[in-house]
Amino acid sequence: MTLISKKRRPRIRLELLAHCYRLSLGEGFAGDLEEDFNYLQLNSGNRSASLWLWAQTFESFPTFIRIYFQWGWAMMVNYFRTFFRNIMRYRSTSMINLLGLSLGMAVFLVILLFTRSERQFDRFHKDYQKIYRLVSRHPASKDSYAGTPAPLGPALKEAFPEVEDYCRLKQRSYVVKTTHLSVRESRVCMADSNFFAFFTFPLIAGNVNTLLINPNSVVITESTAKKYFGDEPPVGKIMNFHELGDMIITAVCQDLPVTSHFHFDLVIPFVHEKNRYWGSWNYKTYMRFHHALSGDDLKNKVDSFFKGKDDLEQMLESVHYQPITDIHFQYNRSNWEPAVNGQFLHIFQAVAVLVLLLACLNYINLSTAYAQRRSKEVGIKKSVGVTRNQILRQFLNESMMMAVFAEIIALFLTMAMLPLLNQFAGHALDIPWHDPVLYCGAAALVVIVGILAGFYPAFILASIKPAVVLKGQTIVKKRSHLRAVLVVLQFTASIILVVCTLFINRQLHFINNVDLGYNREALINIRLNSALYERSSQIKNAMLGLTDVSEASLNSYTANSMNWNQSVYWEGQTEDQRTSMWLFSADTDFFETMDITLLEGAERVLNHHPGKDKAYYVLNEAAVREVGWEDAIGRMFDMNSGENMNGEVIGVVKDFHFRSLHHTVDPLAIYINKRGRWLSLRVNADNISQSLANIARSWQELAPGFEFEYEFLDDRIAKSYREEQNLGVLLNIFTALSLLIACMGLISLASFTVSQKTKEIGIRKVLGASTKGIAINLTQQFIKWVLLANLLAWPVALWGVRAWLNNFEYKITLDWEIFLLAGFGALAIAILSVSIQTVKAARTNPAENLSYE
Amino acid sequence: MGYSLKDLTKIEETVILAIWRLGEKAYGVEVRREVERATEKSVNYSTLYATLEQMVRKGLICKQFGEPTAVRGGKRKVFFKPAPEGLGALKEAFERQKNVWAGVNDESFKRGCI
Repeated sequence: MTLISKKRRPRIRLELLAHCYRLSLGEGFAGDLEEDFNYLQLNSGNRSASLWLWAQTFESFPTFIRIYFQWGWAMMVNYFRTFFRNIMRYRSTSMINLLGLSLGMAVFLVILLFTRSERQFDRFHKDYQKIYRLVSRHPASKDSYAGTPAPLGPALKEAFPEVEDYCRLKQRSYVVKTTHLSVRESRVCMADSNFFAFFTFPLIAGNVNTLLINPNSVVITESTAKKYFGDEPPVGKIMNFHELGDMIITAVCQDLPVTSHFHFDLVIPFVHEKNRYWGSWNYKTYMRFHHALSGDDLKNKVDSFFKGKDDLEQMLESVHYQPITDIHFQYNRSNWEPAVNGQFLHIFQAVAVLVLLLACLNYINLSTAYAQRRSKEVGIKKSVGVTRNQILRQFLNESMMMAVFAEIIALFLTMAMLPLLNQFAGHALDIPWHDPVLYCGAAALVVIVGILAGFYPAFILASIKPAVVLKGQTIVKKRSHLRAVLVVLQFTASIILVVCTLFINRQLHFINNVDLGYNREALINIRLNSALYERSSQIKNAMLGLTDVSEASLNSYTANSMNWNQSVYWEGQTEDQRTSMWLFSADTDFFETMDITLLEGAERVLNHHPGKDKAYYVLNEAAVREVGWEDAIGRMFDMNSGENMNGEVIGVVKDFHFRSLHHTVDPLAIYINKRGRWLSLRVNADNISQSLANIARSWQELAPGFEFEYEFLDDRIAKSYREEQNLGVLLNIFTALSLLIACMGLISLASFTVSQKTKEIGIRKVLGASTKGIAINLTQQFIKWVLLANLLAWPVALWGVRAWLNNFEYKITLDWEIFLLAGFGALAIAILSVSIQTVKAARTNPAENLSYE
Repeated sequence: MGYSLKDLTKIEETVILAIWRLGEKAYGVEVRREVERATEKSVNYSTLYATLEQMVRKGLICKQFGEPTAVRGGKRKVFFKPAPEGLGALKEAFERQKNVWAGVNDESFKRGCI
């Protein structure tokens, strides 16, 4: 016979067929098959040999499948049956196992959904990798600012071929009127006409390319359309904008996803913005490049472009490019919506893994402790010839099944938890039922948890020696190091979580109650329309006439959202002292209204009547320190904003927290101005709603036709910590759940220990031990474990808390009491859950215990 | 005596006879050809090998490895040979057949009676 070249040998099919008959004759069969094949190939040709092989394959495959699955299925049915029998037999332990796993999985799922939605921010834009926002970093302050001059975008597009397009935005509020409705819309976006082509906000009606070309056009969102026009088709309808006049609706876009870093209700063309000069840094500029770029490359290019263009060079020195997907994670004082600290997401992911691990540890601990229960079954199976691997597979199957049930319960728990979380934490999380990722993830989770939780117990059970267990000896060691390690680990994780949560809560409480240097209670800020600016002091005086108002001031101060920071000049300033300061304007009543202490010049400030000839300033202590004056009163000071603002310092205030506590108190200059855009009123705190009603009534008389828009100062302050508060709430919930899981494990472990020691307890009692003594004796071991867990947990928690607190300039001290509190709390909970079992055991009648068997 | 595991089934009987007849060269391919020749029917691989395997397990035949050859893709031949138990079972079957078929010949079918 001649040799057949390898090419013509359908190796795979031959091997496959041989594999199908994995009989004891495997090798011989495979050889025979090949020999037959070769014979046919020689005598009848390639084709018929191949056909013959196909025929063989089809002939034998059904049998193979049937046999394979028949026995596989029979085995599965058997596994299921034993699994359910054991669940029903040991209901309480099984329930604890199941609940622990499902709680762990539910927490894991919720956190995953949460972090996933956070990371999805702004990724719905087409080509989001190519979109950048221009931000500037002011040399004087650490944080960045997203305002840019209006001409910058067009200039960059013209100068650089890399730039595909730009889009400028500004958010403003307008009073909008239709025939039925008149509302102040605070989320009106002024945008370049390519807005809807630049960003991906799908339109429901209208043409992308023409909708903002006409200066009188406006695009509204679906829900805005609903608000104004109900079910009528909105396109072509007219809306009257205060100051702008009638605008025609040209398009309707879908409501924005939560995962956008800014939201709007209406969009109007950018042409309505008049102040388009280089000095006005009031517009957000977004750029889209032809391909994703490294920021540094671009920066260098841009810098070289502006080189030699005098003021522009210096001005644009600080401009950087921020990828659109980073905006949600980087604090920026000009962001329209609060950013999330990316570090928090890491904390949450760590918590998710930790809680899941806790649940797995629980399962491992309980299953190994109760391995004795299954040992006879394993013994008998092994003695009739079941192999170790089969036993391993059986128990892994069981833990997988457990994980499947836990996952189902976890999904229900998640469904129940999400509305609550959404309400508490202001998210719009939902289980993505339509997303295949969910199902793959769920399957992966089952496999991971099943293996993680089930492998060790399965291994223990599979290594049982039938001779030992069938003789009736126990396989579970009385003192297992592993069990101790697992309990210690569980408590370590729980204590870390508790310590972190306690510190986070304390810091949040601190922020809400710290002395800000002014009184935030019962203070309302009323917004004055620019049309009311000239009449503002008249309105203020009228308000002061009300009995409900004790103090009033006109100013431009909006707590925690300061955004006026610019270069200042003073008497004797040297070149290297060039710096910028925070600024706002206020009248002289501001200090009394806010309860801000004037350190110097109090008399002069309070009795001051601003003249027209000269500007007057009040500085804070930090500003005086920055300048270096011994005595600040009477010195010359100037904020250069184009007009003649050269003036005199007439007072110094004690430092107060004019921005959020994330920041230090920076140098601040208050420009004395008797008019203002905000009217601050200190109202009668006894009956705020009544006072508010009275103020609203007199507002109607003073400023007819203008909306009464107000906010409470403390609300506004609270808002700037909203993100932290929300996350704090979430963290509290998850910590409580993880503690619950740890306790469940401890309770059932205690009951196991007690059941192991029934006879010992009986004998001790017969010999005269007291109930108390026995309870203490049984609890001792657990106490030792928890104490050890404390020692392990504290350094880790300390490190974590310190890292988090570094985000705040003003923070609580790391009191050791908190560590002790968490430690003793964990200890108390442990003792409590253990003693439920031990006291019960210690009180039983020894006759009962010893007569057992 | 009731029916026991040692009793040969029809296919076992056919296969073990083929092996016996082939003697030294009784391996898979040859056995199959011999069985096909004797029964004048094609034999399914699964049937043949399942039977062979079962008889090895029952101890009716024993197996022995030969040398690997290129034409077999480098796999060894497995040679079979009736074990003493197999021969005993064959003898028993032969005796029983003799008794059961006693007096039956070609003529019997023509006549319609023994």
